[in-house]
Amino acid sequence: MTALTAPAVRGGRRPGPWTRLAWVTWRQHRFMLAGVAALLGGLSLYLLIMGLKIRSAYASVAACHPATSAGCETLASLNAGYHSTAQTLSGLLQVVPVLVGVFAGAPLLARELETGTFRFAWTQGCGRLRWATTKLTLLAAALTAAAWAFSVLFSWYYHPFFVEGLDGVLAPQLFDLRGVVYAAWTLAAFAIGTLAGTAIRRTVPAMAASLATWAGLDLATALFLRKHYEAPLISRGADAGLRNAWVVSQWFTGPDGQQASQNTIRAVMQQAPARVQESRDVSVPLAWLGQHHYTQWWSYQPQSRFWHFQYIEGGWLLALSLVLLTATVWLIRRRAA
Amino acid sequence: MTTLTAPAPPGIRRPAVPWARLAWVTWRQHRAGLAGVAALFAGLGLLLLVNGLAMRGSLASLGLNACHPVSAPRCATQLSIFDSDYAIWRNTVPALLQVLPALIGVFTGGPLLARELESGTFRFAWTQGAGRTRWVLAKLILLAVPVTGAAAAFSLLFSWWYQPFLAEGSSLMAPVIFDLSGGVFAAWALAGFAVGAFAGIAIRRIVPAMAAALAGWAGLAVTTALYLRPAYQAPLVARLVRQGQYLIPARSYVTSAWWISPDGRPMSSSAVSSLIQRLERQGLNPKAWVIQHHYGQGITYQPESRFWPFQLIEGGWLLALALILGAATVWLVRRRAA
Repeated sequence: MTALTAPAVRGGRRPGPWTRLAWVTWRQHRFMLAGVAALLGGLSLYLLIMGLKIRSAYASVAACHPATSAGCETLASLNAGYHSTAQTLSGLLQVVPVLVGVFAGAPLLARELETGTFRFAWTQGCGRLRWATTKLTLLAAALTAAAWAFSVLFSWYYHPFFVEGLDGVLAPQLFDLRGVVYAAWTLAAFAIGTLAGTAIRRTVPAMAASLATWAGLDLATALFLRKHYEAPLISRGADAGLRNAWVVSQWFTGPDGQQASQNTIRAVMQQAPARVQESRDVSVPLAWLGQHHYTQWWSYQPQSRFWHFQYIEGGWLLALSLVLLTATVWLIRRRAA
Repeated sequence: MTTLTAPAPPGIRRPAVPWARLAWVTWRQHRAGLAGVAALFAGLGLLLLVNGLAMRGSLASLGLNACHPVSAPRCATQLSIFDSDYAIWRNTVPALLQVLPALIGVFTGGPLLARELESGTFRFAWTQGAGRTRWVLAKLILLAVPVTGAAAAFSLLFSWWYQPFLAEGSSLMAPVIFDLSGGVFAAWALAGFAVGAFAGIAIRRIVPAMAAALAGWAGLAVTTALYLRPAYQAPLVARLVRQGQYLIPARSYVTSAWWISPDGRPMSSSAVSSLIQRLERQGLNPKAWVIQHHYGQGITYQPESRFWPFQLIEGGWLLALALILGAATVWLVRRRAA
C-alpha cells in the first residue's frame, strides 16, 4: 500500500478497504487471539470433561433405590467433592475478563503509541479513523463472542448443582459467570483497556490502570450496585421465597416495632432459659425470641429475578463499553501523536 | 562515565561495584513501579485494618469475647449475627488476595528487563561504567528486597486481620489462608518477581513476558496447592468413632472424607461406589455389611501443629527457586549478544 500524496478525486474514491483492514488486524493480533483461544479452549475442555463426570455421578445417585439407604446416601455424599471444586473454579474464572482486558485491550493501542509505529500505521491507504474502528470492532466482537460461548458452557457445567439447590443463581460469583453478563464484563474490560492505552500511551501503566479500574468497577457492582437493581423483597421470618435467594440484609425488630440492635438482642437472650441458650438448633432461640415479640426480618432478592438482573447489568455494561470505545476513537482522532 | 577503551594494566585493582550509583539508577528507573507496589499494599492494608477493627468492635459488642470456645452453643445466636455481617469478608478476601504475588511478578518483574530489550535501550544501559552483570544484579537485588519486605509486612497484617475467624474454627492449614500467613507470602512474592524477571530476559518482549510470567506463576501456584503441599507430610487419617464425631485437634484442615477399608487405608470414590453397587446387587444391606466387615468412614486431615514445618518447607523451596531463577536471569543477560 502506498501513502496517498494528494486528496482523492471526488466521486472516484474507492470504498474503505475493509477486508484489507481485517487482514491487518488478524496479522497484528493473531498471537493475542491465539492466546485467548488457548486459555478459553483449555478451560472449556476441563469444563466439558468434568461436566460429563458430574452428570453421570448425579444420574447414578438419582437411579439409586431406595434413596434413603446408606448406600445411596454414601454415593450422594461423594458428590460433595465435585461441588467444592466447582465453587473454587467459579472463583478462579472471575479473572478471565480482566485478563482479556489487560492483555488484549491495553497493549492494542498503547504499543503503537509507545513505540511510534502509529506514524506508519496511520499513514497508509485508509486513515486512522477506519483503522481504529475496524480494529476495535473486530477484536471486541471476537472476544465478546468467545466469552459468551464460554459462559454458556459454564452454565451447562454448573446446571446439576442448581438443580440440587446447592447454590442460588444470584450468588455473586456465579451470577458473574453466566447469562450475558460474562460477555458484557469482557467487553467492558476490553473497552477500559483500549481507552487506558490511548489515554496513557505507555503499555505497562495502561495495563495496570485498566486492571485497577476494572477491579474497582467489578467489586463496586458486586458489593453495592447489584442489590439495588430492583427493590428487594421483605420477608418476616423464613418463607418459601427465601430458598436459595440472595439475602441482602437481615435484622430484628422489638415489641415496639422498632429495629432492635445487636446489644438489645444479646441482652434479651441472656434472660432466656438455659435449654434455649444452649440449643444447637438456631430455630429454637429464634422461636423463643418470637414468643417475646422479637421478629427476624429478611431483605432479599429472589431467584426468579435472575434474567431481569442479567439484562440490567448487561445493558449498562454494554452502554459503558460503547461510550468508552467511542471515546477511544475520538482520542485517536484528536491526538497529534 | 566513559567506556574503557583498553584493558586495565595489571596491578591496578578493578573498581569496586558502584552500588550507590546503581541504586540511584534503579530508583530513578523504577520509582513508579515501586510506588505502585507500595500503593497497592498500603491500600489493601488500610482496608484490612479498618475491617479488622470493625470486626473486633463487633465481637466485643456482641459479647463473643466472653465465649470460650466461640462455637459454644450458648453463643450460637450472637455468632450467627457476626457471621451474617462478616462471613462475606472471610470467604472472599483471602481468595482475592491470592493474586498479589502474581501481580507483583507480572507488573514489576516482567517489564524489568523486557522493556530494555524490546526498546533497545539496553545498548545504552549496558555500556555505562558498570557492566551488565553489575547492572542486572543491582536491579534484581535492589527491587527484590523492598518487594519482599512489603509482602512480609502485609502478611503480618493479614494474620492479625484473620484472627477472629481462627477463633471461630477456620484452619490455618486451608490453602488460601496458608498462602497468606507466616513467611510464605513473602516467599511467593519473591518467586513471582523472579519468574517475571526470568520471563523478561528469556522472551525479550514486554506483553508476552508478562503473559508468560502470569502463566508460570499460575501453574506453580495450582500445582503447589493441589499436589505439592499435601505431600510435604502425609495427611493423618481419623476414623469415625461415634456418629458424626471425629476426634481430631481443633482447627485441623480436612483434606478429604473417605471410606476406610479394614486394613486402614482410604478407598477411592469409585471403589466405594462399586462396592455398594455390588452389595446391593447381591441383595445385602450395605450399612450392616460394612460395619460387620470393619469398614469405616474416615477423614484425612492436616493438623495445625504442622503449620510452621510446612511454612519452612514451602518457603525454603520457593527461596531456592527464586535464587535459581535469579542466577539464570543474570547468566542470560551475560550471554545475550542483544
